[in-house]
Amino acid sequence: MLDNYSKSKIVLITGASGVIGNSIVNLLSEDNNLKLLITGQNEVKLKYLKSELNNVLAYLAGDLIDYKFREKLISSFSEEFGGLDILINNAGIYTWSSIDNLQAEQIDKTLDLNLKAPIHLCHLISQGLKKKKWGRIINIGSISGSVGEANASLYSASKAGLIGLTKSLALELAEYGITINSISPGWVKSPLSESVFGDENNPLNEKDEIDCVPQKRWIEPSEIAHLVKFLISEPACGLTGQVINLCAGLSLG
Amino acid sequence: MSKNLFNKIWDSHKIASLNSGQDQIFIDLHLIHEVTSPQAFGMLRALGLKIAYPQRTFATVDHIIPTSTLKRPYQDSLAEAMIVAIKENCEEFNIKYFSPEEGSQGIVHVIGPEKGLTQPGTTIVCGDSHTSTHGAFGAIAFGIGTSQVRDVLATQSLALGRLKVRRININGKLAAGVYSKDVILHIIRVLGVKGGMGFAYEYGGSVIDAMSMEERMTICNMSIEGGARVGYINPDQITFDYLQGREYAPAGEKWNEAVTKWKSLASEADAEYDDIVNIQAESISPTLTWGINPGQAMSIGEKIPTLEQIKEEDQGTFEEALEYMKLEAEKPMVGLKINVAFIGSCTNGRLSDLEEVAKYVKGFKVSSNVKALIVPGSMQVKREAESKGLNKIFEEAGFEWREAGCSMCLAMNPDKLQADEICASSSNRNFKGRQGSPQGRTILMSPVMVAAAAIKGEVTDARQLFKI
Ligand SMILES: NC(=O)c1ccc[n+]([C@@H]2O[C@H](COP(=O)([O-])OP(=O)(O)OC[C@H]3O[C@@H](n4cnc5c(N)ncnc54)[C@H](OP(=O)(O)O)[C@@H]3O)[C@@H](O)[C@H]2O)c1
Repeated sequence: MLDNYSKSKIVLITGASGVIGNSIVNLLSEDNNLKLLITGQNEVKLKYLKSELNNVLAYLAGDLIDYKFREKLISSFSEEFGGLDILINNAGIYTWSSIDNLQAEQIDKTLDLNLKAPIHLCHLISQGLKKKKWGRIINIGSISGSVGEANASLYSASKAGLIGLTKSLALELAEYGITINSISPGWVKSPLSESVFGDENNPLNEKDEIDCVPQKRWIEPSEIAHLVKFLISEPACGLTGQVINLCAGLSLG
Repeated sequence: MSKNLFNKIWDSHKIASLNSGQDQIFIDLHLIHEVTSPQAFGMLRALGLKIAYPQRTFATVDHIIPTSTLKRPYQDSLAEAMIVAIKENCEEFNIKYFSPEEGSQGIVHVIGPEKGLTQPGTTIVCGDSHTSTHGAFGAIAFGIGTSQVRDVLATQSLALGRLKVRRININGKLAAGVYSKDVILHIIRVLGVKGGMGFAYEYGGSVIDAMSMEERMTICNMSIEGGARVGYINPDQITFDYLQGREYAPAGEKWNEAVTKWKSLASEADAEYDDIVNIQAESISPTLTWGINPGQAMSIGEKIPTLEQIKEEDQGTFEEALEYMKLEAEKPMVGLKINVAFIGSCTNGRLSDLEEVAKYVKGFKVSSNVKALIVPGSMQVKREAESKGLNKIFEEAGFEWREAGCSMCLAMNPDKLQADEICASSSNRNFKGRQGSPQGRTILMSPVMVAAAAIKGEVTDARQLFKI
């Protein structure tokens, strides 16, 4: 349980219908001091999560590539629940492609979802957080954004962009009691990573990739959830602008 | 000291010890439904994988399917799409599907036992948290997430950490009008909604020994509401009698062999446990919830507690619960007006639940202020109830009689509370908004108590109304 809470905190989690998002929602829902708002594209999964878990107040399904949906998301939730305290930018897509083969639409789509949506959501909630003089923002990046990954230049660029967002915004918002941090996970079993290994043009296979990981294993979604839980807690108030590689050693080279 | 049933099953299903400290466990039976399976099939296709043992997976539809009509296409296009998807997935991957087309669908935790799929000594999983229901047969049964659904489809195994085992003895004799639902609500109230985390619950004692299989299923069903992913009861003659002759139960010579094996699995008197809790049956009264989790419960004769009267760990949500429920401490629940009454769900939607309600509601009428639903747990339950004329009794009393499904337990289908309506419900969860409206209020209780509330239009002691 989080310390020193007079009132519960409202948390928005994007990509809640995905594997990592699901795990974050599951863990945070155990804390009665947190009230969760969830979004993703798959309405049924969101509906089910809400009905299965305590402390999930509402869901809204939609496409975060569409900036109008982002505005609607924040305005409708703010109206109904009185403003957010915590934002977890987790929705994301992976594009595996050589630079030669990239399509213009892929570039737009990946940057729109992975980078522009988090920046825009930060923009939409920043004034509210400043007023409360308290806030937490967590960006789910990727170690590809920290260390580079062949044939994932677009994805890496989007995730590296999040690092810039994290550091700069942490400086800008520090005096308001708002912290912003990034978690960069290594390989996690999910539709996202499977789209990589399931791609027939991709010579990589799961086994070889995991053999390259120093701890020789996947990251469990719950490991990310536990780190999120810590980063939004009161004792983590001095931790800001940081990028934490949660990758079973993969970023060490 | 000897091994308890949980550890015997665990050890006999262990394929390997993993570096992570977990074990790889073979899964005997996998049940799937329309909501948590589509993405798992999608992931299988993306990876070009096949199902390892298609004959060990069984499918049905329950969560999103409407129960007011079977007419296709369903009004909710999302529901229609999901029902089409599960049919196609089952055909493509060669999985037995208990379908609306055959009229064999129902709540997944009602179907498994009634078809004889749920058997002692097995490991059973389903992408639904109330899978612990199947533990009533002496199985290790628990809910899993979508990515685990995929893992089970692809490998028929899961990486799992062993649980500790808490034995819960219920000894003595239950008073008339006190049901298995009251027993499990009482257990959760005593041990807390998180008390079972990290544990499997083994229920036993003279009260459990005397219960029918359907009563035992109600107990095991709600284990997860007390934090225990697994809840089970040792198999005995009552278990065997229930199973014999069912469609998927072993038959002929295999039956005797199976019974011998099942008998050997039950925990012995000297079995070892990590914890033991004793509860006296005489201390249990008809129990109902006043708050927003199943542990916030009281007996019908009590008053809503004050902050000081509840355990420290539960105090955090006390005010939130009262504010949401629009209730006050130190007031009774008796006399509280209700708007909706719901009898059904994987907790209490079986034939014996309906028979018990029918026994009492004959000659009474549902209050004109109450919308009352009775939703059978499966199409088989529906047909059996109808062949006994129960539907006539219900309809005469003013209850709606529905097709099979989860219905208002979780409101993923058209059955939903409106605004801040209060529902007396035989289901298993009273979380905020669980029954569909963000302000909707749920009071959990036994089916007979729900029926009494429906008739009086307010929360009432069924023992008095029905002279039990
Ligand atoms: N898996 C890995 O190995 C790995 C490694 C490092 C970092 N990450 C990062 O972790 C995050 C979560 O990924 P995951 O592994 O959990 O993958 P996932 O299971 O595929 O989940 C992705 C989530 O993003 C949502 N999403 C996708 N497109 C969207 C759109 N246009 N609008 C709104 N939401 C959209 C998805 O919603 P629907 O499913 O409802 O469409 C889903 O909830 C991503 O940011 C990813 O980059 C993953």
